[in-house]
Amino acid sequence: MAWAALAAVVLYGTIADRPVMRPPLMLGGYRVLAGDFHVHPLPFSASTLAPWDLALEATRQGLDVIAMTPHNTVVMGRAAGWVGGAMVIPGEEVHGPHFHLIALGTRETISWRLSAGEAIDAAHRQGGVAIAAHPTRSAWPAYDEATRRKLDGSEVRQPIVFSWPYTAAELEAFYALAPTAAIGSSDHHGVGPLGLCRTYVFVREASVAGVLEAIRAHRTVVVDGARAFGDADLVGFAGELPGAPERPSRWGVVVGLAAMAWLVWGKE
Amino acid sequence: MQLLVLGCCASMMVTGRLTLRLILPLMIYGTAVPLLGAAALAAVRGRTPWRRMVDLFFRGFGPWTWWMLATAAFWSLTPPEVAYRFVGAWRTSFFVPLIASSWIDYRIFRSELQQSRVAAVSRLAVLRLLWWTPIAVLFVAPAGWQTVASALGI
Repeated sequence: MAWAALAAVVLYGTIADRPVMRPPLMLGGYRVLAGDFHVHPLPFSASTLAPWDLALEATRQGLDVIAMTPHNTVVMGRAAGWVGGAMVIPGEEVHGPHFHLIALGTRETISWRLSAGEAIDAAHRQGGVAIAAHPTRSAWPAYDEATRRKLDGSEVRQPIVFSWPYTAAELEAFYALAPTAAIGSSDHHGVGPLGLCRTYVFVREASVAGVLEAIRAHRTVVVDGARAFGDADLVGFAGELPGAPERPSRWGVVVGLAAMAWLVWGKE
Repeated sequence: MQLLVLGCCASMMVTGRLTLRLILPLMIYGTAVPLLGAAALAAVRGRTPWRRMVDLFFRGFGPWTWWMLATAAFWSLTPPEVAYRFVGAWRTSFFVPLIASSWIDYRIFRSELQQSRVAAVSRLAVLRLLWWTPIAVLFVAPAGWQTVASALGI
């Protein structure tokens, strides 16, 4: 009985597991892409999903582009495109003792022993962009004014604001200090939905180069309920941006959990 | 069974549904855990027959299985914005199966394999070291190394 119930919800879940199909969105003369630029893959980065799983999962969460940002290595980012899915930008999260920095579009690992300014320069030398990852108050000393001006983007929303609500004001304060692209990321570690916080990028062409150019030019918008952050000319489009898709009905999960609990209990 | 639970739980946590697209690969990735455990077990089993040792060894997986089910329920039934509010408590809950499984393994060394307290503790420590070190490397090596190196000033 429990096996039959589990098989039924797995069958239903597999059949219903389809990419979100949306027509290309054009606003203000730009193509708008939904992105998540802070995603950790398995292995080496405290996650449950491999790069190719993440690229496919992104299409189920209505994301057009994700960045593969393992800690202190670029190795797994290149493997993401093996089975298709969303556009993937290789990169890393430079995970240092005093700051964390997202380097996008990079091909070589950037040392965590560098200062924030040196790490940003290293990302730029590789043709990439640099984004301050969850720059809460404790990270501010790593970014003096000259360093902040080198940044291309700054996370203004990510799940840390749900975990510790006071950090929302800190991320906003850092974002207000320097002219950077507003970035929303999920900092995904294999639990919870991909793209919970996301960035809308206004690109001239739907390519990795196009996304990096748009971030450099700060043509991004991040939406959080009634609030929007980003380019002053583009935040007016916030109401027209598609949000994350609805989570599936919980009945499948409830039945699946009950069936597994029954089976585990019987086994013991 | 544990691998099926792992695959199903991870699928539910990420997508909110059970899909073979995630269940199957996660079951494959998850095989590293029992395989590394079996390799570590070989080093500490002494003269205990291999089959019996493996049977005993899997008893310690029980707390982890129940923790995975609880974790999956938490992340898939709670709205993510709410779930993240309790992420600290969730991370702390990791210590419950960690301690419970270690206690079960300790009791196995003591009562089933008739080890002295010192021998049971030392075998448990060696088992955990040999088993969890490669898992930690696979899971968090680059950031883990940075954290250790920064703390030690090297």
